[in-house]
Amino acid sequence: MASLGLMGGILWARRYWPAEAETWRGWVVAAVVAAVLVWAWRAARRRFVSLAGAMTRLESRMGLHNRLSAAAAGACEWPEPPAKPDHGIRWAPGQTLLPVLAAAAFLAAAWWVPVTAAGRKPAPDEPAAWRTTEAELQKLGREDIIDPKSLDQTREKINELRAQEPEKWFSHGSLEATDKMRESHLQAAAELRGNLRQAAQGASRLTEGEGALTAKARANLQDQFNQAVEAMKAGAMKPTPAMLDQLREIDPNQLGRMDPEKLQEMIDELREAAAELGEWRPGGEDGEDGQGEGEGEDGDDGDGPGRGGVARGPGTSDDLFGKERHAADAQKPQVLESADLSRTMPGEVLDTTEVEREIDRASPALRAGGKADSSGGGNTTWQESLHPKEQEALKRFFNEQPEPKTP
Amino acid sequence: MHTPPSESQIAAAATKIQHLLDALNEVLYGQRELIELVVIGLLARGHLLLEGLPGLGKTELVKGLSGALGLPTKRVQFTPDLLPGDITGNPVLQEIDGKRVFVFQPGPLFAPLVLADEINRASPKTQSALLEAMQEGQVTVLGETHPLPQPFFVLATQNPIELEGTYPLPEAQLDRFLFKLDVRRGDAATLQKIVLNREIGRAPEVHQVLRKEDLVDLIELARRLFLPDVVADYIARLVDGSHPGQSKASAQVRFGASPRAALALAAAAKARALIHDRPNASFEDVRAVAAPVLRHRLLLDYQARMEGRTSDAVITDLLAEVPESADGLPRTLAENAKPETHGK
Repeated sequence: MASLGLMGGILWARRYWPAEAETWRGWVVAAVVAAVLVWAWRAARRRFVSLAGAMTRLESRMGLHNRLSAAAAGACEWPEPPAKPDHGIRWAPGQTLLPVLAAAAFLAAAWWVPVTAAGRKPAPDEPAAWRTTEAELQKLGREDIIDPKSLDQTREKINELRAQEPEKWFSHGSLEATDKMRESHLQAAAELRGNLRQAAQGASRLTEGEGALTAKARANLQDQFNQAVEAMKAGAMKPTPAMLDQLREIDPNQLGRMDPEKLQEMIDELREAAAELGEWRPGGEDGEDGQGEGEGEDGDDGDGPGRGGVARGPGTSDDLFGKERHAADAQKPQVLESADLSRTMPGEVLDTTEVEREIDRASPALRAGGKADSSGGGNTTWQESLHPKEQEALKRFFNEQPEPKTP
Repeated sequence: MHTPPSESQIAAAATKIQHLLDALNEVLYGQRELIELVVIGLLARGHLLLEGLPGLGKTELVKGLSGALGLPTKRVQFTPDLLPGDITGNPVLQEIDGKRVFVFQPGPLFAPLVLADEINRASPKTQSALLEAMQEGQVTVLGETHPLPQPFFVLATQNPIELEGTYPLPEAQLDRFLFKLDVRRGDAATLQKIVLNREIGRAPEVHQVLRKEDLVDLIELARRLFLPDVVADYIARLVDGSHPGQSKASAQVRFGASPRAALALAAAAKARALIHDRPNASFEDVRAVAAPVLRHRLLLDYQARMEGRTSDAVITDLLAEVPESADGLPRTLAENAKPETHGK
């Protein structure tokens, strides 16, 4: 009975405890098995043969007249051991082996019978955007361009999303938040790249046109440089503190008096940083690389028909709501159908032919009494299928067809 | 807790008892079992009720016992007109020093060995007078209590036939007897031995083999013999099983054995162990004395009497039903067939 209960418990555990809790489940099952064993031992102990009971059986069996019990109580000397002891009992194989084998079979069945886990489903794969963003953050951290602290904010957002129940990872709110997080991340990276480019461009033009620039143009370029540096300072994704300090130390008014080599070196660094940022970034935002994530309705964001976003579908079908058919569908083969050949448009019907059909005029109809009627089939129809009034109407129609009226 | 006697003491006692048994077997032929039970009863300080047909040697056995033990014996033939004073004694008016006073004249009960012949013929009043003497070892006459000599044994006889005009002993009276022994006739060989060695009108010659002090010592030794717990447990389960509903064997029993029966079983088992030169009572001793101890203590119902079922049959079934060990074997073990017992 204990093994049956244990088997039920193990099967229950296998069904309702997921595989990821295997270690914990194993310990619990081991504890339950141990508890059952202790309980079984305690229950069986009451049936164990006691020392007094064993002595009683021995002395009764061997005709010792309770001498062993008396000796054990100190009432007399122990008797001489017999030459051939006879305890008089033997194992009952049926009662001994059967429960053990049955218990082993039950436990083995509990472990080996295939059981489909229920209750808790395995955790789903997390959204791909998280892994992609984390990989990007890791790469950005290695580039030595961006302040690592400014990347932590995105990491925290990802961790917050991941901390949710796995069932909620793909909920509407979670996917919206993921989309927003990724959008902010890409936007910050794009802004930083743009600012770096702008700073490099401004510095380069100020250096190259040192003598030819008008005062107004020079002031514009200086503003451009300053704006780019300020934007980098205030941006969500900041350059490394070393680069930021270097840019802060530069006075755009004094660029002409700076060491040309050092100035060129700084400009090159800014350009390289902007270029590196551009290497990993998924395209689409600036229209340079195409393949955007747009809705696919108007083709504003990319060339493709749209793949859908995290929180929306791939776009409205071309055939719905009177939308203009996409040019990409122009070459698709389409079926031309027309049920009414009299209203077909030119080109819809390729050809028409007339085929004369062979009509079997032998009548299979039966007369009364079961004899086959060898008369024509048409007659049978006339005689057996139509009421007299119908026959009359048909005769009148075919025989008395009016002459076409002439105008 | 008594100090168990040593094995040498037990061996010496067993030898003396064997002499007594041999002497009695010379008096009564072919009744070894009966004689052993009578001696067991004496060693257990119990009173015995002998039931049997006339002429089977009941009185001769008591006479032989008296001669072998050297104890004074009084015989009382119980009749319906026997009065209590006839057995306990009466105060007799006597003149002593010029004054008339009642002086108690002891009756036949004032003897160590009393043979109450055909006890069931006496009136209940007389039987109850005997009851106090058996239980308390004293008699009370006119408010004055007189102790009986020790040891004091009553060996009563009754006839299972000719029951008309008799007064069956009440249950309380029967319970005072340690044993109720059935005296049965011997076989042809025994009869031949009786014919060859006995003559009508001549009592057999019996030599004294024990003194009164020896008997008292033997009784004390039997009392000190060890009774193992398992044997006491067996006795308790046997007596408990004699009550209705406690066993299958007691299905037709109205009233089972009393606790006094359990005490009687223990005392008789120890006495039997002493006779057989063993330091402790055993299951075998209990089984051997179970029938004489219990047969007069079980009151069967009407159905049993209609079916002719006797107390002895109930006791036989009870002994077969109640196991020696209270702990049954686990189901994983089985008992082998029991060989013949050996040992003494």
